[in-house]
Formats: sequence, structure tokens, C-alpha cells
Amino acid sequence: MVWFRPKYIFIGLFLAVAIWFSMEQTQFEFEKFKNIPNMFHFIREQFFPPNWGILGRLIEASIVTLSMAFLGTIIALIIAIPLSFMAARNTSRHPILCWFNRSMLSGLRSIPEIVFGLIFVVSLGLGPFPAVLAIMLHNIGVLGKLISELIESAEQGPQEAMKSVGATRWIAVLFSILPQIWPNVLSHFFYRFEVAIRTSLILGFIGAGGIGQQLFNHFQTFQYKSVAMDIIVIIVLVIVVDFIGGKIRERVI
Amino acid sequence: MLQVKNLNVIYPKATENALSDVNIHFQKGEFVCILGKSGAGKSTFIRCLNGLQRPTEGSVILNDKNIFQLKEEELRQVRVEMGMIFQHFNLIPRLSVMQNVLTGMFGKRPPIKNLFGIFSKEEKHLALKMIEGVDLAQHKHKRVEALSGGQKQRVAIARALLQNPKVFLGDEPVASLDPGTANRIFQLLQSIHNDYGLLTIINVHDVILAKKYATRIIALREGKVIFDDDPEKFTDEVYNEVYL
Repeated sequence: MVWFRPKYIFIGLFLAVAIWFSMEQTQFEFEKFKNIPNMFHFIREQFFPPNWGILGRLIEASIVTLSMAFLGTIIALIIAIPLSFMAARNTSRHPILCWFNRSMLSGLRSIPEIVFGLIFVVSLGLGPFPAVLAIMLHNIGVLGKLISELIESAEQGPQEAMKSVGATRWIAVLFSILPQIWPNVLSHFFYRFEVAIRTSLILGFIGAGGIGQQLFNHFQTFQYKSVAMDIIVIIVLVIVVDFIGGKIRERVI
Repeated sequence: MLQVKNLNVIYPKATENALSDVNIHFQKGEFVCILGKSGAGKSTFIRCLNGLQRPTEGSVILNDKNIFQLKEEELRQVRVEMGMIFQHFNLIPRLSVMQNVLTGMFGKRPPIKNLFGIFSKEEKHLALKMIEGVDLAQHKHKRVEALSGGQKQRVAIARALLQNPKVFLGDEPVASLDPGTANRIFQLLQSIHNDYGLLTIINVHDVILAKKYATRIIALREGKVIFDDDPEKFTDEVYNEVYL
């Protein structure tokens, strides 16, 4: 039997211990599941009917959320594209420059938006502006890494052709690689945009405004029928953005 | 016109030379076919001619200048004088036939104009003339992915011609085409060769095509030139020596 090797028994034991340990750490107990009916009860009693009266205000707030997420990701994309060409092994001028860019991008990527957000809210004040910066910085790191990987896996052939027509280095690189990777760049962009919408909700909790702040405020003040309305608007928002992103990508390919 | 002196290429981590001591003198007006097994060094050789591959040792001399001693800017101008086509066509995906052909001009224009795709009426007219020359006028606005293999290679030929080259290089340009299409591509290359008075150097697997179109055949084996003469002298014995 191919799976019946001492090595696999050891791995199995190790996983079992790791699971048990994690359950201890998180107080994960099966008997707690018996409280689940309480959750349904809570939702049924408190959330319905949703508070439709605040829909107008929520739409305004969701436009702020959208703008935050959009601005943060689009600026990140504009900055990340040139950076990722400098960070990709096949297009970087020098190994040291490549290494420096890579480290910088992974540094940005390793700091979550919420950390940037907390720092900026304290230093730059409340409101959507610090949230835009937080989303932007983190996404420069993420998009820079993703796009530089696309660049590294782009076909070599067109780059050779552009060299052999005598094009300058950057024109050759740009013309031979960008058209190849563009659909994937856009799909990464839309995915990150979607993630940024969810992030800006969280950033709303620390005072960045938008629909996240509405949700947080309603929750903190026990206005669960308004919370229900917030959730409906958020779900619709994410679905609409996903749908529009899909349509745009279809047209580009 | 184009001279290869003492060319040696050793790839990193390889023990054998990809090319060893290659010395060839090319004259204007020659239609040269390079034959040899896969791995004999044909590609390496042709890629050295326009500096896509740097040799370990030796020189490629075009118009009395060793291209490997040129600065990047001068090397670009040398490349403009050498049109090149490839086995996999190497067109830019998602761009149209017209846009692909226009990139043939990139070496002669300021980068900023290239970046924004600014082309004058005359430049577009010239590109169109090249597209008509390879018989693709009705496809000029199509994306290149929509074309057949033979059509793609003709786009690549039009792109190379727009450089107004003196030398025309082909790295296995018909290896992924069917025999009929391959023959038509060679016919096209021959008529271009004659019309423009070029030096044409092409790697090819097909001995029949080489004997039909070439004015000179060079055969490589294990990185060495083992035959360099008129096509009539490429006998069955030479064939065996090259391929078996």
C-alpha cells in the first residue's frame, strides 16, 4: 500500500496533535454547538424586519466605501505596474535593484491594512483619507508581487522579436509583455478591488467612515434592524462589483 | 558584407561547445540555408548574428564593425538593419496585424512616439504597403491570434521588412508550418530577397526546400561547420554526414 509508510503515520500523528493543540488554544468545544439555536433565535427576533428607512443614508455611505476601495486599489495599480517591472527577474536592470524592489514589496505586503489604518487614523485624523492610504500601501505590495510574477512567466518570444527590430529596452519590454499579461492584471485588480471593499468595512470600525462605520455604530448601539439593512447593502454592493468586474474582463479578453 | 570570425559559444553548465570555431564570410545577394540536426547549433549561430546571443569568444563583423563591441545604442541600429523572423512567429498577442507590423519601425523612431503609438500618415501607408506585399490586406485589422500559422509568419515578415533591412535572418521560420505553406513562405522570402537585394540567412530542417531556394548551403554538426558550398554539391553522402 503506497500510503502505508511510517512517514505518513508520523505526519498523521503530528496533524492530530496540532489540531488538538489549536482547539485547546481557541477553546473550541463541541458542546458549545448546542447554543447555535440561540443564534437563529437572535437573528429572527432582532434582525427582522430590516430598517428600510436608513437605505438612503446607507447608499451614500456605500458610495464613500466604493470610492475608498477604488481609489486605494487604482492608485496602487498605477504605482505597482512600474515597480513590478523593476522587481521581475527578467526585466529588472540589476539583480540588486530587483532584490531591493522585491523586499520592499514584500515588506508592504506583510503589513495588514488595519495596521496602516490604525497608524494613519491616529496621525492623519479620522475619515476615509487614511483608509485610502492604508488600502493603497498594502495593495502596492500585493499587486506588485502578482504582476511581477506575471511578467516573469510571460512568453520570451515577443521580447526577442522586439529586441531584433531594434527597439529600446523599455519599449521592447513594455510592448512585448504588457499586452500578454493585461487580462490577468485586470483580473487581479478586480479581485483586489473586491477585497478592498471588504477591508474598507473593517477600516470603518476604526473610524474611516463609509458603510463599515455605519455597521459598527449600529452594532455598538444594538440597532440590529439597521445592522440587517447594512448587511443587505454590503452583500448587494459586493455582488454588483463582482458582476461589473467580470463583464469588463470578458470584454478585455 | 557580414563576416563571422572564430565564433565560439559555450552555454553555462554545458560541457560541449554549442558553436566551435565558426568562420564564415557572407556576401550581399546570397540566399543561405543553414542545415543541421536539432541541437547542432543552428539557432545559436543565427542568434549571434544580430546579437541576441553573445558568444563566449569571436566576432560578428557587419560593415567593418564587430557588433559585440558596440554600445547598446549602436547595436540597436545594427539590429534595425537585420530583419529577423522566428519559428513561433513571436508576434505581440492581442494586437492587430497593422499594430504588429508597425512595431517593425520601432528601432528608427523616438521611444516616446513608440510608447504612445503615434504614427504619421506616411508611416501607416508604408506599413500597409508591406501588409499588401505579404497579401494580408484584408486581415489588417484582425488580431494576430485569429490568423493561421502561415499568415502569422507573413505578418512577421512584413514587420521585419518595415525595418528596411539589408540582412534577413530566419530561425526555423517554417518548422511549425505544413509543407505547402512552408513552400509558399520560401517563395515569398525568395521574391523579397530578389526585390530588395538582401543577404538572406535561414535555418531550415527541410533539405528539399534548402536545395530548391538556397544559393549556398552551410551545414553544422555539433557546433562545427562541416559543409559550406553550392546546393548542388550537397549530395547524399553529405546528407548522411550531417544527419546520421
